[in-house]
Amino acid sequence: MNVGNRKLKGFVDRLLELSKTDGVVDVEKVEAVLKTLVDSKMKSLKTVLQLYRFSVKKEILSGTAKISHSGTITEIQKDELKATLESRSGRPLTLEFREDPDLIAGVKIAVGDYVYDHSVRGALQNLSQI
Amino acid sequence: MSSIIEQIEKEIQNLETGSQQSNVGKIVAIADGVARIEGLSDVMFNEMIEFPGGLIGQALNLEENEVGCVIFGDISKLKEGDEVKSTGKLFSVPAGMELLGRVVDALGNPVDGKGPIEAKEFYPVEKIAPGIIPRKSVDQPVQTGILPIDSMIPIGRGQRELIIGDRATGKTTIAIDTMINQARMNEKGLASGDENFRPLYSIYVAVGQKNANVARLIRTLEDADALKYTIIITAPAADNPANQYIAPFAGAAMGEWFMSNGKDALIVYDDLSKQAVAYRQMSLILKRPSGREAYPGDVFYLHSRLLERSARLNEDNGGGSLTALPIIETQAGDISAYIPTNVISITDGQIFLETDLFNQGIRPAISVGLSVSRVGSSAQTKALKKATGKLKLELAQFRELAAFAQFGSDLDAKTKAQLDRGSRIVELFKQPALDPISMEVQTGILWAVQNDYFDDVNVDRMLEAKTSLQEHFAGSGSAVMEKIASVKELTDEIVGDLKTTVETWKKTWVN
Repeated sequence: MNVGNRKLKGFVDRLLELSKTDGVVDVEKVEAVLKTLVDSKMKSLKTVLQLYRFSVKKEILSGTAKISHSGTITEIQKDELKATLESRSGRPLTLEFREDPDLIAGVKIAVGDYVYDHSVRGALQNLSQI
Repeated sequence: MSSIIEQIEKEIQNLETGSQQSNVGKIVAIADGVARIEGLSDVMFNEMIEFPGGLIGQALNLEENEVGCVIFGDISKLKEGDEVKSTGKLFSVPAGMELLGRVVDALGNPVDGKGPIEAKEFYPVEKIAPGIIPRKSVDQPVQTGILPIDSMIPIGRGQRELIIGDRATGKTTIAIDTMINQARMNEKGLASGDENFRPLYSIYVAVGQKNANVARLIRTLEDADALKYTIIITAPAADNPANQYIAPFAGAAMGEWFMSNGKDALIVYDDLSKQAVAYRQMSLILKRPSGREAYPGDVFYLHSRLLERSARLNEDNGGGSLTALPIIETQAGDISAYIPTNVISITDGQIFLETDLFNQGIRPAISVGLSVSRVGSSAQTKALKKATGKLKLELAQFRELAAFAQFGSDLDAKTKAQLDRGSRIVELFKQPALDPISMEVQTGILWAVQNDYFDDVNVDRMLEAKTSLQEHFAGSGSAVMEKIASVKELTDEIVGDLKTTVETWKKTWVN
């Protein structure tokens, strides 16, 4: 990344902060930022938009915990899970639950590019590699 | 009874099953053995990456938005969107005595159909070379069995000696001869029961070679019964560039195992110019900036870090060694091209082979003027050193005089004598492939030359005379040969015996 891009990166980081409400990306704010950007007709608009797209995508991904589970999860468990994950990542998270019988038993949690596999399928896959 | 069962069940319930934490990413683009991956925010430089289908890769470019990664093996089944996983480990290959006699690919998987390799240890392919403290100077010879090399360009254990020359000038042959000679010496040394004998194991790394050539080499080593002391690592021309790039490092890792376990090993990189080309291709696809001849900026470091791993360790560190014989192919004898100059400057000397000499029938086609060994003379056996005398100087003077002698016919007696001696030495140094000569026989032959026993032999019959003397040494001269082999010095007593033996031979020789 050259010097110019580094400056743009700082600018995009500020844009990302402006797009959040309570630490979560807000659709309305993103739309507003986009409109202002396009109207400004700035010189390196394309690069800025590309960097902005990447940052927003990364932010949304790391702010979402995708939880696959086999069997039912009670509301109390869900709350416990949310509290544990949020304290671990130190930020508010949106939880997406999905039932996946292929896991056989247990849960698999993906937050951004981190995956915590606590399922029988994962354990078996691990065993098969030994 | 039931209480015991209950207790066990309770213990099982108490067992905590740990969850697997991993850092994953997605392939966003894949082409020519290189993948660009999104995610993998925790990946380390050079870390091993796991791809679907059991494939592995290495993270080489860590950028802000993505990771550039080379993949070892067949990538045809991978596609965009596939999930990949970081492993937290550096890429390692199997190492140990179990690999001897085997042919493996760049990742250490057997390719010779002799079943799995039961290696007990793994060694990282990228490792920092030994520092200053554990090293010591080269002081033990590597006998190549090739007369001109052992006498004029001696190689020591732990040295890096480059073999450089155009295509088809006999570079690989020198390496094969050396490996065969090691096998013969190992066989003899291990059979003798000498506790101080240190076998020298060979590792041959074939990079970008034709599979037919590798098959021929394996057969040659098998026929010479040398394969059992050799590991062959092959990344043939059909392999992807990543495999060709990593193969020498995999070989170095296997060699380092020997060195760090107090053993001696010899590694042949055949050849590093093809590895540099593979690395250039990889780097260009990874969009790294290119420099001279389109090679990336770190191509010097690629070879220097590889060759620095060859060393001689001191006694406190086991006293092992790793000798390297890198091979470089030049284009039209141009040793001032980028890669040749790099590797010449890294190594401790070079054996330069010339096409002209090869075509004149002087084989091995070693150019005496351009070949040098910077550290090997301190490792040369005393007997051979004494017998060699000033042979290199005489030969260099001969080459100069021979060029002059073409113009004039009137030569003084001294010049004529020098020319005669020179042309005899040139003939004497001709040696057929796959026929290494032992140190004691080399000493005997060179002593005979230095003491004028060959002076009246016709130049065109020098090879015949040399063979005849070799046979004589193997027959009635075997006692003195054994003495030289064990004492490794030319004492007055040995010289006396040698004189008698050579004189007996001389009486039987008819011009």
